Amino acid sequence: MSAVARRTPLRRDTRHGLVGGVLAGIAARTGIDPVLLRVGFAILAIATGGLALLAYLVDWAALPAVDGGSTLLAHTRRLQGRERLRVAIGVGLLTLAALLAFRQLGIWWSDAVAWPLALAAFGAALLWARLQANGAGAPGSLGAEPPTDAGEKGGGRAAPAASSRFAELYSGVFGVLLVVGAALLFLSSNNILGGVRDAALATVVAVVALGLILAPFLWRLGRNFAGERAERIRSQERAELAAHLHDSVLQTLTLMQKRADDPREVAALARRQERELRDWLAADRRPPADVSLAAALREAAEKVEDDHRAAVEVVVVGDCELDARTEALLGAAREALLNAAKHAADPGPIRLYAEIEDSRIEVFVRDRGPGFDLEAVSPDRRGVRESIVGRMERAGGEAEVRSIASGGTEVSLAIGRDGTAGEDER
Amino acid sequence: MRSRLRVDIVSLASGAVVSALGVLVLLDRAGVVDVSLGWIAVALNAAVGAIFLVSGLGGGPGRHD
Amino acid sequence: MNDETPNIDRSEGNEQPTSPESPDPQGPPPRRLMRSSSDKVFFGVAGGLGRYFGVDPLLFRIAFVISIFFGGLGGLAYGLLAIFVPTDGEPDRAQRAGGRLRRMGFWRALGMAAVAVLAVAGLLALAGSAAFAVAIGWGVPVAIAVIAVGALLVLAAFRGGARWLIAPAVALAIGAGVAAAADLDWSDGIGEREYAPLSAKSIPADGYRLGVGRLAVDLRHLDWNRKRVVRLDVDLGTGQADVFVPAGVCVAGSTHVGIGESEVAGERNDGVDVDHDVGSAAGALPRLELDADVDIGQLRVINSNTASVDNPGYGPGPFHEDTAPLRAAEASACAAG
Repeated sequence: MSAVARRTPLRRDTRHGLVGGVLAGIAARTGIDPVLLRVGFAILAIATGGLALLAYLVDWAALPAVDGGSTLLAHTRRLQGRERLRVAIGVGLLTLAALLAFRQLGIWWSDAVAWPLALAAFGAALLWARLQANGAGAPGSLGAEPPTDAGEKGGGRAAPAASSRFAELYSGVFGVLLVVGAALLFLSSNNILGGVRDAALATVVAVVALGLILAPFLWRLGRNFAGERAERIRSQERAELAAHLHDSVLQTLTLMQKRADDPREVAALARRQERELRDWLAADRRPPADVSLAAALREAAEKVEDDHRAAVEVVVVGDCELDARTEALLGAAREALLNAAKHAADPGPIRLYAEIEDSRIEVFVRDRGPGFDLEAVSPDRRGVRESIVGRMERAGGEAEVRSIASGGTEVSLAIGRDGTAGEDER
Repeated sequence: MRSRLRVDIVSLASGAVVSALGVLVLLDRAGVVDVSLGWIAVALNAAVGAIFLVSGLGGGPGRHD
Repeated sequence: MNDETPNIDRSEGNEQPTSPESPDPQGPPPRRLMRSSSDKVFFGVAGGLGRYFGVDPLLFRIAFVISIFFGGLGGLAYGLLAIFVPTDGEPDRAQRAGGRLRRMGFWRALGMAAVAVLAVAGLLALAGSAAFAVAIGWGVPVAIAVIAVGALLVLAAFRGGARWLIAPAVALAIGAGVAAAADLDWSDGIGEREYAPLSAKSIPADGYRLGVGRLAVDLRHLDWNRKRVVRLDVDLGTGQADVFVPAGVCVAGSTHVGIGESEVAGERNDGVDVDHDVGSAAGALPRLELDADVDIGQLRVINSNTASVDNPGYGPGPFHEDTAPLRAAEASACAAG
């Protein structure tokens, strides 16, 4: 029993409790008869003159209930309207009582100092609480700082940005008046207003009061400003997006509707637009085609797509800079693609796969055409084959053209990056 | 063990507070303590404040948690 | 070609906030007074008024706040405006309350207001009664009653609560508490007492006492020969105490006013714990040795042969704005040997 009890956290047992279930919860956890606990607690309360009651209240507020209810403090945050007002008034009065108690005990500045201070603190708290409420955009509920924010309701944010900012400034007028009143009270009750030699102190008080009043407003302004700028940037971007979509995608869609009878044309248009949209979306992230082999390969594939209404799927692993050797590779790849596009009977996608490693580059171009017999190729193709194989060999790499068992042709190109003939490292 | 009693927390707390004030007055009138205006201000503010607080937190009639 | 250009606002947006002179720059002012739903602190009354009259709402807000310090009429006006003037946005709590009031008709609303006033008056009466009872000496029974009511509330809590009892209980406690703490003592009686003793022997040993009211002691019928020293004790709980002596009599002794004001021989003071001590005049003749104690109220010692007991206010003597002659007279009276 005790082993089990020690594992479960202390909770209020509201099912068996008389008042708040604190003692019942303790009973459940420790196994002591709750009646005993209650009697003991009563004696303790009398003996300590009520301090035990205070402990009970603290436990009540802090411990969650056993059936899943939240703690009292969490409950406070959910309060709305009239109940929140009562809590605020209650806490305000209790604070006042505490202040008065300190005054009675002698722990007090002079009346002329302490009351203006209290008023100023209350006013400043009001101003900051309005700030929180408006920032969180909670209309209709009281400010986010319950203890001293009695009776204030957050201003609505339905207004356009400019006038809402000033509504917030003006809505702090009560806080402003409190702080000003506190300053004046302080000055007058300390007979400072009359003396010239206290002008410095008067100035300091005025500056402090102004600071208290303006601080939330300035902070709000700064935050709003940043927020507004972000908002403006966002709306600009949205405008750009809308313009771009209008210029490109809408046009393409219109064109596609007009050419609906030609499926290849429609497919080509769609592919082109898709590519263009992807490029636009990834605009910053791709290196330009004149320094990157991968980009150059993609660009070549795109050109072939455009010119011959073909579909080319490009997969490139790795990347490197362009140099003389890769130029050759690039040329050969282009030829292979052109070849596939021109002669592939099956309009299925041409696949280009490139592997760019540190010492070696390999490119494969595969199409689904009927394939060709190296020996029995048409002169046209033979010439092209020459241009592919010959080019690679002249550059120090190698090329191979072969037919695939499933139908189609694969052109494979390989070149080493450091001048070797491209050894296979695998 | 009793099952859930319908304890109205607000009435309970308010009654306790009022009784405490009564005890304070009794002690003053009986001469045991001398409650000055300053201290009665403390006591009254604390009492009313506590009642408001509990009524705000305690919610509707007969509610727990 | 379908060319639906989206309506994009490509303007740069505001870099600076608008000037404070025009918080609501929207066209001509509306023809009907409505509460503003955008420019509001509580219910947008000031915002709506500002918009209707074309002035800065801040003026109205300041006016409302200042009026609170001068009787609170502005608060009442604000409340009425909030309830009966519609808002230009979503109907809020105030507008709904106004609708309900309007629907229930004038008489019923008036009835509700009357009930509210009665309730407040009732609570005040309770507090006052408790204070009165404590003041006239029934402090212990009142305290026991308050404890009993509190205990009743606690017991009722276990039977479903008795929220309605809370306000009356608190009213009783407040009345009793304040009266007990202020040590109000009205047990010596209530009313208006005027004493005009003809000889020193008829002055009671423990002086003249009154709980609450006005206590006037006219000593001018005594035989004030040159060697006269008259001792007088005056004890007043709450109210006004006037002591009359002939001009030329030195007023000595000590007086105390708990809260209030005192004017003794041209020395006028007010506030809390007003004490007046004339110790150094021992030996002056004729003189009055006065021991006066007013808990709450006003004490006057009037050196005048002619001031009327009922209405000493006008003429030479007290409440004369210039107290210097009175002090001079006191000084000369007390200097005489």
